[in-house]
Amino acid sequence: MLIPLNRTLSELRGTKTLVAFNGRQEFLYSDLLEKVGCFSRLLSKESIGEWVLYSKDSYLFLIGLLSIWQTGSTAVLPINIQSENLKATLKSSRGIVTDLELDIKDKPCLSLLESLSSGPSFVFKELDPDKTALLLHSSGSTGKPKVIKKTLGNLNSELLSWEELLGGKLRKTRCVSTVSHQHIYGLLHRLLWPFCSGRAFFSETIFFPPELVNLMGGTKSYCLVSGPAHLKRMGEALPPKEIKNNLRFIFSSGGPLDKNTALFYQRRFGLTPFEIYGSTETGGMAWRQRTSKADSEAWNLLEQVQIKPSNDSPKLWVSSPFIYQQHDEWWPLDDRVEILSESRFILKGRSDRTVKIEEKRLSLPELEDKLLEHQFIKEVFALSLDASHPAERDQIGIAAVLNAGGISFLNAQGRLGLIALFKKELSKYFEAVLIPRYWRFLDCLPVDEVGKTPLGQVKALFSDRSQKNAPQILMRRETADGLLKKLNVSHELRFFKGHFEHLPCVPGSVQLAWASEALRELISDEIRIKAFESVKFLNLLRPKTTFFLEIKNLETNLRFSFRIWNETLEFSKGIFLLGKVNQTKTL
Amino acid sequence: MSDAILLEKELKTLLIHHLKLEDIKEEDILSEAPLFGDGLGLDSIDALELGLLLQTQYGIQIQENSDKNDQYFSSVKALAEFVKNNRQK
Repeated sequence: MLIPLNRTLSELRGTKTLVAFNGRQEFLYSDLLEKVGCFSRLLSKESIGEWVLYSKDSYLFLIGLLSIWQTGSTAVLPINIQSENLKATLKSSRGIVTDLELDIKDKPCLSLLESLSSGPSFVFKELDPDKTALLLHSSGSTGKPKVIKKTLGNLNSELLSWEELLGGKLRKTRCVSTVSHQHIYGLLHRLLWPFCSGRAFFSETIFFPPELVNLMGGTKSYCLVSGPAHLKRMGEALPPKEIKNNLRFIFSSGGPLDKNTALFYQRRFGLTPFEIYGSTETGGMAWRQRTSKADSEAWNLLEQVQIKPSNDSPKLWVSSPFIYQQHDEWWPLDDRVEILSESRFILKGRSDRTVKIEEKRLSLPELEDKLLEHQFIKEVFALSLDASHPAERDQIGIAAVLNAGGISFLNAQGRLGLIALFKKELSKYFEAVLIPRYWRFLDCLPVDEVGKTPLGQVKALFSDRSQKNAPQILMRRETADGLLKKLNVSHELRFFKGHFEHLPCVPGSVQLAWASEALRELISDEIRIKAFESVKFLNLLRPKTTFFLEIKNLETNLRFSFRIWNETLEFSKGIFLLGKVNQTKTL
Repeated sequence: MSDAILLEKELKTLLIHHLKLEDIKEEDILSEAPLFGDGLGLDSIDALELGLLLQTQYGIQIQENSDKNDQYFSSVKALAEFVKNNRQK
């Protein structure tokens, strides 16, 4: 039975009920009551208001959360604990409740690790469900983090609707998780829902697959609260027998799970991950379980949630009791959808520049703003580089134009030194997963006729990542009659090996291949390169050289010229003769 | 070259290829430098992939999410030591 959050302490459960456990200890309801009583007494000596709460351990976090609520305060969950972020969050709060050792002077820092002495018993009250209980932070699409309020009533309604849908399937399972309770999905699914429904939770966060396997075996049943980042990587490392025997249910949220991973879990463990679609603002909205059927891509709305399309934009509007609002309002979402029926829809991606990187939301404008604040950067464009294969990770790429100071730093310290400098600056605000891995320093950002930076052209700058055999692209510009690229030959390209040991250079055939690849970016697949004409190799193209590669359309569409040169030397040039594929049969 | 140095080289190459670290060459990674945070700048997803890599490559199962892991993963040198003492293949 689900006890509403505002009555979890005033409405007594059996004191021997197991609340939480870790590898060494079990915590009963009576232990929790005592701890919350002690901590509440401590907290009641401080002023009432907003308190930042952070702990890696779910049981300690729960003690902090319940104590904050019992003493009439509001819990603030920071978006991450990067130094500048935590500083900013603390500024508007009374203090922090945490198990971290922090060097904070100007605000009270109450440690959850302190062994608390018992004293006069603290009287637990029933709490007001309409009072703001929780402030969550989320990266907003405009570049400024948003603060999202939740009342206990908002949280209660969501817990109740999940309990009605799935409570029966989860009964008597213990909850284990790979996701943090510091975000809404983990908070509800790994901590508050188990707690309110009397299911025990594992207080640590599972990271490596063997930790999960260690819990399996034995006779207990488990439910796993996870997400795509872990599920897609750990499946192969889990032993089918133990998982089949002990794992009853898998939740996934934080981003869509790819179909192949979902089918893999079904095939190997007989468990189809139950995916939840939602956001910090809205809480959970819909669910799906992917099967081989085509229509399993669609999401099913929770009964209490309503959606409607917007008339003038591809945005989605949502109304739900899980959203904090004064009136009965519709809330706009930045996800684009195709509505199939009143209760089913398909997601079509974001309508703004917010991306998800391994379950973590990132506002690209916010990242750009932080980089623009750096003294070396003149212009910047951030983009998400989609994984070309489900096993690969999503990445952030940065195309940046440096100012004079930046260029001289680059010349003196090299790319690695400059990139390290930018990464260090960003790490004050962003978690490591969101720090860009791929950097391109350009003379200027590509611009189209209306002055916008075309995403496709910037993306093309990163097409060489992971290809050790391609020159690095420093610039790419489509010209009136062709294409111009500025490239750099690094000294580690594969073909240097064995090609003139004492005089490494780029073979002519490789230069022709680079020119052909550039040409292919301009012409359709049906057209093929029939022959080369007047090809000349004029100078040796040596490692660590920056050069231009230009493709030009000559008068007729079937002749293109190429030229590879830089300010001091011309390396090669020639002409391509083209023909349509169907014409070649007769040639 | 000693076995320890060879294993460190092997791990550096594995890290670069497996985690697709752009711009970084084997000689750029100092054996004593931290892998996470300020050093090589690896993140939690890399840690997970590294854990799985140790399992497939060396048959090492990382049993618990403990402070000891932070120690094994603190640098290439520490990692090489951990692999040497725990490898099954």
